[in-house]
Amino acid sequence: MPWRNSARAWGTGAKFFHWGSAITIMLMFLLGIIMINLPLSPLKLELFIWHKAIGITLLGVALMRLVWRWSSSLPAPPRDLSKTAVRLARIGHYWLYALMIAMPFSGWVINSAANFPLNWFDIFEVPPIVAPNPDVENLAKQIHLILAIVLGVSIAGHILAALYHHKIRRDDVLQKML
Amino acid sequence: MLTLLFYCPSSYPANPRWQISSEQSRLGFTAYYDGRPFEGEFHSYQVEVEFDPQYPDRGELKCIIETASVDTKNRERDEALRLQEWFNSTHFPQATFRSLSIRKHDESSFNVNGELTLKGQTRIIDIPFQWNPVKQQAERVQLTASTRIDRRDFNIGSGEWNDDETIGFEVDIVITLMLKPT
Repeated sequence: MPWRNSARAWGTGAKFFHWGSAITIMLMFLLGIIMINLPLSPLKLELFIWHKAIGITLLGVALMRLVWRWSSSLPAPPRDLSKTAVRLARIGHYWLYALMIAMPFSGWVINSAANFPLNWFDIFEVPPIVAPNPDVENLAKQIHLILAIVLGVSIAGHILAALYHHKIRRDDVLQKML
Repeated sequence: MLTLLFYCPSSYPANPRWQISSEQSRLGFTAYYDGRPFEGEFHSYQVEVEFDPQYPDRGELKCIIETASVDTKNRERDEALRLQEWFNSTHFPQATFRSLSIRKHDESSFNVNGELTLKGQTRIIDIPFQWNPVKQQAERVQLTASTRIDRRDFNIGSGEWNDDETIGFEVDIVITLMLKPT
């Protein structure tokens, strides 16, 4: 299995990043929902610490995936797919990248505005990107929540599109990622 | 002659008293969250300083802090800090420091030994401090001090918080006081 993409399938690198992100993003939704509903306790803070460190990781991964995408060829879309459909898929994928970057970025803003340190797995400290400010914190929290909903809906759309290719169109779009 | 000797102490000049200029003073602390520092301060406090660097042993320092005035630039965290497990500001609205003795280290460095009472617990601590006249402002003096305490000594962060997985036991107290003679 080649690391790099070929015209026929995604390479191992792209697959690893794709499925790694998929699982981690699901975990982040779960962690986020649990942690905000817990009463204040050391466990709650511990979950926040994990959520933040993983979020920064996902930000790095999303940027790396973009670089990986731009530096390699992409598998060709099915020949019988309309130009509009190809263009829509392209827009949809960039939309997902934008959300995968905006999501952790807004979390980073919340953490900075809330005057919390951001420790990346005890390895290095991520510096704040905005000064402490309760108004910025509240705004960023709302944006983070809205982005979470938009990302959830977009991922559902992504999954439905993959299933549409596999089950209805019966092409190899989904299989190229497996 | 003997009488004169006995009277000598009272013939010292009176201990100079100082008042603080609040805008340029800060009673702050650095605490540790997930092993990384974050800063906070108390906005409401009173300080009594009677001090002459020539006669440090006769100096006196007192401080009364309103624990509810804690500000870590995070409203939720500040509210949590006022609760029972932390400062318990309802029952212990004030923290106090009272000097017992002051010693000189060198020209501008001193050490004050005194009683710190926080959340009803009193501990004797040492606080090294610097006493530096402000160059451009006549008569003004800047007092800077810092020391490290362990929050467990004062029962701060009790119950399930008596653990340093998320919030460290060490707290650095960082004080800057801008003083002028009264």
